[in-house]
Amino acid sequence: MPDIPERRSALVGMEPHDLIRERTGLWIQRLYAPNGLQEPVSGLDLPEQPNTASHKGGVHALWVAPGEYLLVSEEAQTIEGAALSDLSHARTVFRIDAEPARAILAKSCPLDLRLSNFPPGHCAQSGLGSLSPVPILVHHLESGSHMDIYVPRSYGQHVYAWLVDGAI
Amino acid sequence: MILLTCPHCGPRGISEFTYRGDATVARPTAPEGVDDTSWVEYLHLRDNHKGPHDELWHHVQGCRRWLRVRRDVVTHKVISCCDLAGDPAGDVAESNP
Ligand SMILES: [Zn+2]
Repeated sequence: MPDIPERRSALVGMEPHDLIRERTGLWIQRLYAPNGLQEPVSGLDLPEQPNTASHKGGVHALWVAPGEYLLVSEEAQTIEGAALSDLSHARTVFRIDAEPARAILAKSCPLDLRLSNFPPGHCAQSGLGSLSPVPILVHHLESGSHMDIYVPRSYGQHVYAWLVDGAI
Repeated sequence: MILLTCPHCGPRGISEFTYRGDATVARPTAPEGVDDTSWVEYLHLRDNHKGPHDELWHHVQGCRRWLRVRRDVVTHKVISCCDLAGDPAGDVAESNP
């Protein structure tokens, strides 16, 4: 299995925060399959509904657009039979407990993250902040315990500072 | 907040979308033969309708799909919203400046 090349934290020099933790060393791929997978791909189970996620064998598959998925795993995976773009170094990922995540994101993100509308296993893309919102992807983990927030890595420090402010 | 219901993502805040212009404008099929007046008209001149209007919107912070929205510009009532790829006049997206 290929390794994930190491990369330093996007938050070097910033104060750690109890609630908002960075997830590093993730294997993140975009899968583009506009006509669906031609044949089942071992290790992959794609969500059928928009704005939902599925998981199989440690690989989470998040719907991001019709025929487009984000694959995330804590370990590098070998996927045969599907075209992937490696985004492992292109995203900064934050993990927040689900309850505070709802409260923090409610301050600056237009998504309706109430449990009734955004139950565990759901994911959604949106913007964070006003004026020129940063693109984010929020994933409510299947267990319901946490939310993971994906942002382009170059916005990592900005979003972290924004979330920390929101947590006050 | 004004909501727009994306055919894929469901109801979302309007800040996730970008307005990309009049959906009824068609690029001249043979641009090399178009005179300046017609070209200016195609590029810059727009009618200012009152009432229902077809518009292009890009769900840029969601699924990033181009949408055709029929909206009453007086009341903001959205009459229909569909993905351009599923629209018989879907080529408008590429021809709109
Ligand atoms: Zn959408």
